Amino acid sequence: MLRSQRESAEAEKDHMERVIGIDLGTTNSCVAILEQQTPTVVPNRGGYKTTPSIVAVTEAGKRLVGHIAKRQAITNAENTVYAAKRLIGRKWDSPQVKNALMTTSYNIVEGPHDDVRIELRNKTYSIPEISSMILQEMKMVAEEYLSEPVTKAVITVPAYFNDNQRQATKDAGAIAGLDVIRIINEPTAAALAYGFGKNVDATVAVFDLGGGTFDISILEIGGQGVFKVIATTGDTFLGGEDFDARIIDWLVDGFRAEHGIDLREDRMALQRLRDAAEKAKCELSAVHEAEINLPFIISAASNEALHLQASLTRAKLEELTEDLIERCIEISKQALEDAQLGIEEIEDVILVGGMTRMPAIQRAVQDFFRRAPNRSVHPDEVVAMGAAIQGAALIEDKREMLLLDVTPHALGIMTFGSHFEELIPMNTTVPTSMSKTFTTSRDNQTAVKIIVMQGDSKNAEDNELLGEFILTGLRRAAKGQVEIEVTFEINTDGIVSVDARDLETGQAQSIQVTASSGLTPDEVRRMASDASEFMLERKADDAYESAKQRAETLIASIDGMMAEVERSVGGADFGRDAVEKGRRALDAARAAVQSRDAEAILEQVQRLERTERMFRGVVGGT
Amino acid sequence: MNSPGSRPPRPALPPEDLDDIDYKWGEEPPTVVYPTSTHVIVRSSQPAGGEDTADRVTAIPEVPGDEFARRLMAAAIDLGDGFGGENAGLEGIPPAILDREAEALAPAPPRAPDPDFERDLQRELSQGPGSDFTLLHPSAMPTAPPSMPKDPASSGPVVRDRPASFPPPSSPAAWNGPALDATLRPPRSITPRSHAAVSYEFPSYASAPPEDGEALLEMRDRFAMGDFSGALAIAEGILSKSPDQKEAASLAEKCRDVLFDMYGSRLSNLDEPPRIIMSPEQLRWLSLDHRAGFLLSMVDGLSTLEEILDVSGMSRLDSMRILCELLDRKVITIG
Repeated sequence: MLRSQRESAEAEKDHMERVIGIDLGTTNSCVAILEQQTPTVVPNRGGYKTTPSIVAVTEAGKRLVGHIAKRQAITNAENTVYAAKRLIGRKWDSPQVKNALMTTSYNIVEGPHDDVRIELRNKTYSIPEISSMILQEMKMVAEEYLSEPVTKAVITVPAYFNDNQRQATKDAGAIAGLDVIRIINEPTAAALAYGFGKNVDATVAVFDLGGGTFDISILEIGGQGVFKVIATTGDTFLGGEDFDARIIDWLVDGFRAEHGIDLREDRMALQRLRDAAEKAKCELSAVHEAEINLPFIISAASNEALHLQASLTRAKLEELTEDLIERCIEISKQALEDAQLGIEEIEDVILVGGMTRMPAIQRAVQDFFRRAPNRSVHPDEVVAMGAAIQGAALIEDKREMLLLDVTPHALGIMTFGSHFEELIPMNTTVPTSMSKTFTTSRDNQTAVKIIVMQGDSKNAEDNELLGEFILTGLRRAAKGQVEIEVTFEINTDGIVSVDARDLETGQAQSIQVTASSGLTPDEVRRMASDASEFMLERKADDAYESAKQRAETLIASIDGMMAEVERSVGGADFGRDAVEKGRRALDAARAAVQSRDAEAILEQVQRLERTERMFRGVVGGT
Repeated sequence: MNSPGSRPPRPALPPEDLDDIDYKWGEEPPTVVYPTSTHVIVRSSQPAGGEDTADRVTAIPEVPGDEFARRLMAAAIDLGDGFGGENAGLEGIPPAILDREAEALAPAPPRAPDPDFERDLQRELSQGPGSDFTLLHPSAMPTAPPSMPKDPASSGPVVRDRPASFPPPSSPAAWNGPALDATLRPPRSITPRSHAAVSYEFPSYASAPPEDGEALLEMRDRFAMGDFSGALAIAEGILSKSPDQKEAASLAEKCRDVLFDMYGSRLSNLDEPPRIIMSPEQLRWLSLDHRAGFLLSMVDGLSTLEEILDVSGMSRLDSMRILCELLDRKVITIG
């Protein structure tokens, strides 16, 4: 194929319907697209390739998302939501929610469906709704970059997410106006980006240390596009923020020793400390010493403002965070044990997450896995890139690149004595079907309850209940004599069907289990409509601001030339006429700006442009 | 600065030339002098963010303070033809303020005689010729504008009568003009002014607890003199003790509106990002407080003023005030 033909074919592919890949992280999110067959991360308006997963509502009722929300996360703590990912898809009575009730600064309340809601400025939001605000932001970032609307997305989730959490993430996408065509595991996405363009057939470890969580996954990458997560474990409360907290403690202790003032008691000071700590931590990945300079950090009793100035070395940072790094390695050991693999069987280590840039982390990983980690992929971007690759493959129907979905957890039923009998093991590719035969546990038992569960524990109580039903009309017989066949089936959409059949009488009963995010379809539709309205208003505001800026620039330019034009040609009739027209144009433009009507302003902008050209002709400017 | 509610002490002697009076709010709060007898130029002679960091920027009207106050209140009482037609002399005053000033202020009965005033007046009256004090001759006082509404139930302010217990001046001729409701600082020489006196009738003291009376008076005075930030501080102090005090609430809102307009116009385009133009070494020598330090930490050359106001962690008004101070002190520039 000629180069020009190849280029135009690639361009045509790029113009096909776009699918964006979104890494919806606990602390930071990232969006990528496949451009010219290369995965590319899209920067936001500020030029950053990641956006903080933080949503806030100001006192004026304004919604803030991303970097700007992060900058006031402490001064407006009660109305700023962070780490919503830890709550998405969870039930109100889950241990994670109970823990969050005690540790988060924002108000968590119970929802109407045993789900979790968050209260911000007297308004209640579901967790998918909060996450949808972040996804909406990422969608907008992509649309601005592409200059075209985006409706389809692939979103990544942690490998340990259950069906409810995945469904809640899909609902979040739907509320944001995205058709989520696939949910894929984060380590899988990372491995996909890692293996992109290469023929990989290996067992790899994905070491993901992000802002709020640590996940280690062991994957088998097969040649048929099968990415199997053999083991995954981690700590949902271990991440970059903990490293920041150590720096803050160090700064606060030093300041208190010098001035007797605890900076933690002042929100403004704490906000600045947090920003400075994170900045210093990032700098120390590249240099050995970072200066922390915070003038006027606090006012003393005498109304005199005090300054904080400190110098943090890389060695000191490593000393402060040594135990956190050790914890990461301990968890990695656990992952290998769960996978029943030795270190030598790990063929590559992929680093994911900004914290993996820290030299001490990289050394620890290298020491533990006895090999240098793979640095060919960008740790902040690799997951989003993998999602973008998968999205493009789905649209183009590239079967060789398709990931096969696997069940993240085992499926089975509760049996006598509260045991869990597994029918479909974890990581089984879907679609799939499996049957097992059971019997009664009591004499003359005429009915049996089938309790469908998902989880990896042998103890049924530790697993999650998906549904239950009763099979009646059993033949009266001694226990153990009646045979009941239970069949589990999972289709490509992830819907689980369970069938129980009396093999003797043929009597059967079944249920279909669909994941629930805690939101009803009507609620999702309503929230999606609200979100859409919000975006329309925001776009209208943006259009107004853009038009206003153009008009004001022209008004200032014409105003600046008015005196000279009057001097030059004001004596002649045509000159007076021109000046008069110019004044009228200015007045009309100012009135249009006051009206806040973007279209009206743009009409006046055209008139202003003509006036400016005319004036420039007179004064001879450029 | 005296706390709201306390009576400021009278100066012992008048200054040589009243036109040169320069009052510092932190030292000697001026006694209220009606614009007809003299005019006071209120200046904030301390740099913003100076010794008293709680000080607020004082409004500096472009016209003399008395004229500014007259124009403002003329709009409120809608004096009509007597002042050259509707809105005459009101150029430069934001329309929103004019509209709000036209809101009804119920007329009040004469207030109780002030014993300090009476004592001071008696002392002044007892001075013979050649004394340092000379009462302003009432004939030099302009009369009330002809179109001043007389109906006490009208929405505009009415002329306040002199308290009946005050003895008429022994000389010169009987008082004929509008009364003064505070200590008069008689000038050594008087230049009669051509503009009319305007007095204001605020809601009666009967609506406020006795301890708020002084504070209300000072609040009104400050507002009349164009010190909107000072008036707001006093109003907020009153509201913290008496949250239902309607006059304070109403005036506080007016002050906020004026201050928002002033600060907004100073900051001009809130979509522009500010930049720090002072070196870190120079910055450290400034006497800024931690709130200014916090706002400065938000200035990165990329975040717009609007974004900084969104995340300031303070009231929008306080944030705008501090940003204006930083702009005035050339710590930051905009755009």
